[in-house]
Amino acid sequence: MARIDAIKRGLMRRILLTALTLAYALAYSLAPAAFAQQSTRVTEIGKRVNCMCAGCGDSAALCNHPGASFSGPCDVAKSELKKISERVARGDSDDLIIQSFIQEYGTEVVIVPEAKGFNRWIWLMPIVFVIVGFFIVRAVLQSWRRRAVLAHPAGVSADLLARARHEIGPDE
Amino acid sequence: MDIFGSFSLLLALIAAVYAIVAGIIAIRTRNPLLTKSARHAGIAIFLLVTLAVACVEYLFFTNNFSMAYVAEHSNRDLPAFYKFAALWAGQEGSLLFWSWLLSIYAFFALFLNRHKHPELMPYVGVVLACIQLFFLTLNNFVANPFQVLGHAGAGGALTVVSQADGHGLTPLLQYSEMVIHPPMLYLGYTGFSVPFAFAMAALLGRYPGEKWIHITRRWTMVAWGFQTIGVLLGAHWAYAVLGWGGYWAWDPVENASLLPWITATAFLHSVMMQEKRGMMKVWNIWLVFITFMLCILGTTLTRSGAVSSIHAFAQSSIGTWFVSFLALIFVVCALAYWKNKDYLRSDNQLDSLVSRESSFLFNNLVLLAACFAVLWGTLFPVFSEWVQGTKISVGPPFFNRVNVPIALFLLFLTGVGPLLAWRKTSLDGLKRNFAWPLAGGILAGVIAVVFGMRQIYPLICLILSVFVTLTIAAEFWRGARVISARSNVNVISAMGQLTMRNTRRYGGYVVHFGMVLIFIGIAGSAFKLDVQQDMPPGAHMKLGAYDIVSQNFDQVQTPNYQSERATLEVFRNGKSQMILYPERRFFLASQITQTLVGIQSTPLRDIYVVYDGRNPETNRPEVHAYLNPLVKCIWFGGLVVVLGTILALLPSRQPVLVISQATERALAPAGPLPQSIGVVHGQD
Repeated sequence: MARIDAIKRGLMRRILLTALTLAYALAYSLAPAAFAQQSTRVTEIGKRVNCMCAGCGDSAALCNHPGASFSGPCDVAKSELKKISERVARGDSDDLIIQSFIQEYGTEVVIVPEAKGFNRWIWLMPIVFVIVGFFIVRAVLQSWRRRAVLAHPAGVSADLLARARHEIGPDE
Repeated sequence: MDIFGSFSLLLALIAAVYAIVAGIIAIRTRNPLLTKSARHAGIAIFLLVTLAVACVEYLFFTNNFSMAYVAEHSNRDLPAFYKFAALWAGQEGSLLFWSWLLSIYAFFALFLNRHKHPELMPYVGVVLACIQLFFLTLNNFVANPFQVLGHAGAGGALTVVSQADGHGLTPLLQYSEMVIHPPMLYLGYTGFSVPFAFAMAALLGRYPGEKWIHITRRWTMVAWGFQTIGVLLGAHWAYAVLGWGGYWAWDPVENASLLPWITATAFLHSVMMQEKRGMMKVWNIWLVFITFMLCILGTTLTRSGAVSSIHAFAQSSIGTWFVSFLALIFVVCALAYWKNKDYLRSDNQLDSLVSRESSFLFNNLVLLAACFAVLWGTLFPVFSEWVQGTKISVGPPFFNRVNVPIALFLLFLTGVGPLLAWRKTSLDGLKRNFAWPLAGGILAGVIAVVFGMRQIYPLICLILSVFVTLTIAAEFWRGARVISARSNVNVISAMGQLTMRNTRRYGGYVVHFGMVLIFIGIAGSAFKLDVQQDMPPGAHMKLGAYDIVSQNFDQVQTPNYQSERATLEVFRNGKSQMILYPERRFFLASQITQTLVGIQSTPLRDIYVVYDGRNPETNRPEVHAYLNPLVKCIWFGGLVVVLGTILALLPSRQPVLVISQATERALAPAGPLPQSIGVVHGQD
């Protein structure tokens, strides 16, 4: 028994060591990159507006036009990026630049709509789903629990019952 | 050959109608001959649709450009490899392909079970034939791949016109993975028809016992495995072909492929509650129904053009057919459930809130939340147009922001779930099972922070990934240790034995580990770098620790395309590491230009370069380079997931009596069984 425990401890140590080595390698490979982000502000704003060529459905910064008569950032996307670049050079804020695009192209230009009016529901509904779902799951669990308590009268504890069942049937 | 193909499709349609009518009568009269006849009709559909598919392929390979479908999607110089794949390049062909795969599944489901489940199979045959009838109706009357090119001649007679050459296959599909990706995805989509048919059959026929749920689970796993491969191949294709440096753009059609995959994942977990405890019968049957409906919804999104997508090659008014079919399925499911809901009554009881059962419920909640968020974001532009009259777009930032926290919680549950016992987990058990994995995860996080990782989501992902990996390792270790001690084998071979004794359980853990790798790969995208600049020969570009030097630009001419190719040499610390050749190909038949990305991949990072063509302002060649960390983990993780799925599908070995040598000696004289003898159960 003592030998098994020793083997167990040794293996767990090795597993832990392997995990730490893995974490080290990951951290080493990622950390320098974290300090060296090169994405410009123009690219970041370009990712917030759609390419308005009416075909690709990509953002201006990531336009690649599959299936069209060109490939890579199209002229429309390039002209949008150029406008962003000019406004950035002029000192405009990100929001002001986005607003100028909405004025020019309409609300469709923004890659994710602002949380205003009906569009607020796009953000609210997933949260509502999770909250309502959580309460439903909780209610379901509580009702199942109540049934179990009613089904197992005092004298046979749930612990004892669980142990007996565990010993009878294999675990999954 | 086109008439032969058309006739085969028509006969297949008649066979489907016969299979439904004969099947229903057989169920009502319990006539074994009619049951057999209906089954044979189901098998005949497979043979007839196979003939139709063979006809389309023959027309492609013989360059029969009098056929509209061939002229639209092929040309003489198209390599044979792609002529085969041109079958699913357009609407008519891909719907025929769908019918074919469905008929293959139906064939296997009917043939393999021909001597089993006599009460259940007639219903299964009818449900499958109903689905086939819908698709064969489309193949025959709405999107027939055997239409000829022609015009009305004198007296109104049709004059067939043959083109000298075809328009060619869209360049996006001229990539080797594209020959595999759509079939895999379609095998997933169509495969979910089989569990749907079994679930519906069990409900309609009020099939006694839980056997149907075992059959449904296995078929779901098969379809789920194909869907996983399809989704990952699609992501890899997007990465290697589209040239934007990413692999998942949350395009509506990508989302459509993910939705049934998520609900099927939820089913594969919650079904265990029904198998082990007889719980959640209603929930499980609806998960199967919803998964199938999401497959049809996905096809509706792809075909209808209701939402804008890069998969625009397949859009048409056929969406109305799919919407009607979807509505019909929903009504049938609701009615079948309403009429037979007492059949699904179960005695749901929970001994403790801290149990495997609770974790499965939360797992299902989280998976459905992810599914809802993706569906909601995909359909919101349609709702917005209805309500506000203005078109809006919902892009990747929404999907990422909503789904990343959900996915991380799911990763956490992946680690926690297997550590909790069925019915009740004691505090001691919790401490024993969680201590080491949790410590490992936290330590990994601390090391990452020390090395400068500051982004919160990747950090949480790393901690959870290490935690889950250790919980999986501990599960293997605990089981292997028992076998090792009892049968005197080393721990590694004990792990092999352990896995084969319960393939379902340990295959599931392998799938979980594959998912961990995929999560790590996705987390790596938070550290991606990209640089775009003019690169005339001799120019340098700095990309993280790498220097990219432009060496040359040349042109390649083939009968199928003209190509402009960049030669870029990559240096690190002054030493040459590799040469990459990104290209732009101009396809002569379709007159379309397409990029071909240069990728050099290692387990830790990909160097990914795209030749953008000439900058219109400077007329100099422009290159966009990306440094993508850990992308390879995604593809490798996908492979592990597939291997785990195959393992889980294998039958477990029978229970084995394990007797150690010492015990054998002790047993020599007759006596009671000592404690060291154990029966290790292999269960499916």
